[in-house]
Amino acid sequence: MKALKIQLINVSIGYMSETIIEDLSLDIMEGEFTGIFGPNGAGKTTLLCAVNGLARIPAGKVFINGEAFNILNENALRRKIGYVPQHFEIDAKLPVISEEVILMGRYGKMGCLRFVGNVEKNLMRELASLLEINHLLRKPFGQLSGGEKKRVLIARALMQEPEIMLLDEIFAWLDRDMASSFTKAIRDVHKTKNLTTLIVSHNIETIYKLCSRVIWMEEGKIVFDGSREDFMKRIRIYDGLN
Amino acid sequence: MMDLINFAFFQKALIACLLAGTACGIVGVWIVIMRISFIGVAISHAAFAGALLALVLDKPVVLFSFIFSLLACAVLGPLSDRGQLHPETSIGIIFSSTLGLAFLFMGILPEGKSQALNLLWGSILTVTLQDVILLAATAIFASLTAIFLYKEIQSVIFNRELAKASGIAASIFFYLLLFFTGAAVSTTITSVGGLLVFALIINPAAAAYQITYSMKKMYLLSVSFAVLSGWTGLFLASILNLPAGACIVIVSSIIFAVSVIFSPKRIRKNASEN
Repeated sequence: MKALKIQLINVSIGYMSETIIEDLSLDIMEGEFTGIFGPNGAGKTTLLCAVNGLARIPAGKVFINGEAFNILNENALRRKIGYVPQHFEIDAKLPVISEEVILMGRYGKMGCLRFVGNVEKNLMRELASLLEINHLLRKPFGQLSGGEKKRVLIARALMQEPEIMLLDEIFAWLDRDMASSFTKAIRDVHKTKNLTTLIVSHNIETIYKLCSRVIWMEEGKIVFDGSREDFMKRIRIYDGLN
Repeated sequence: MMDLINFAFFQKALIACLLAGTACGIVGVWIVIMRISFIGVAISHAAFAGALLALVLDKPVVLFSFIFSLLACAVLGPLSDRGQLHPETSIGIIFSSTLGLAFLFMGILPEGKSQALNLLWGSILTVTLQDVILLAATAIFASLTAIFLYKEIQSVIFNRELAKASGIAASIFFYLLLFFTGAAVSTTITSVGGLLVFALIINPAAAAYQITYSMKKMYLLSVSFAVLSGWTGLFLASILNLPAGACIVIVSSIIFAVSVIFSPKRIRKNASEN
């Protein structure tokens, strides 16, 4: 039987007087590939930020492997969670190359006063091969295209050797060919690294191809939680995609 | 010109430029990459107000400027971190408040304004051995921090949220960087001056930013430009009989202008636009 990996109990999150997530409870089992679907402002990104402890949670609890976030363990728990954000604006002149961006994912795990060695560099090269970004490693990160940046950021998240991956709209603004190769890369990474993955996407096709379970959110609440087949029935385009 | 080097006061000034250039060049890299230049301005004004209060109370200038700059960091850090106020608004409030305090203390200074102006412009040609030791301590601490916390600092100044998400105590490192900015400003204020220190922090690092895509090279270039600005400014001031602080600021500005004109990043951008 698979273990409970992520658990949210009665989580509510708001900003100023606006409620973003309201009294949300959720269990995610180990190895699941879960899609988070819903309109803009439904609270999908906030849900991911609740899982990795980046959002302030005034009410409710979030557990990772049965452990609740607190001030003493938050960094240790975050090291188990890879995160790729939706928006990532950066100055094109920034003095950092892609290879360094990927290595940054490992810094938390390495701890202070340790220098990057062969172990980290070998892992970085392995991930670059997996995501087919070897040719980008020496390029300034700020000069990469949106899709290339996303791949580098996924490699960065994988450098943590995470147990959980949180992917926020990583297919946005990708053309069809790029999205197709990206989908394969994400599926391969999920399987080979034995991850529990949550992906936020507006794209029904992406969710259908990748996820075994789908959570549909509207106005901060879960309005549907089930298999992708049931999800497709619900939105009535299942036949069209087959 | 070579005769000048034989004078002990000039040798001390050259060493002070080397040490202040090292400390300010390193701190500048953090400030410029994080795009928080105006936090640096606000901190240097807070240090200036603290130094003036020390003069009023006849207390140690460095200690009071350090306390004031730390207080400014303690207010600016959380405001910038939590986004409760727009960063420019909070910096503007701190900037104007510390400037108001500085003018207030200047008004009640018992021995006139010359001491206050010395703090503003510094007196690099009259640095004491104690100033040099303090500058050396700051330069060594800044260098050790840049070397041994290189990867954490790089991650935090690249993107604080991602650094936090990967399990780095990003807020602690951010406050540490602000603390070092305050320390660099307050230990250099008596020798280099409240206005000059800001030029030495921003201009050399901004010039280095135009040239390289490597943070290690940016550190080296920023420190080199800061030291070069200090030494060239000193020689020009002595030869042309001009204020040393002003010459150093102008040289650092010229280095920045040249680096922008010949920036490989700018040339590459223009080439891609054509």
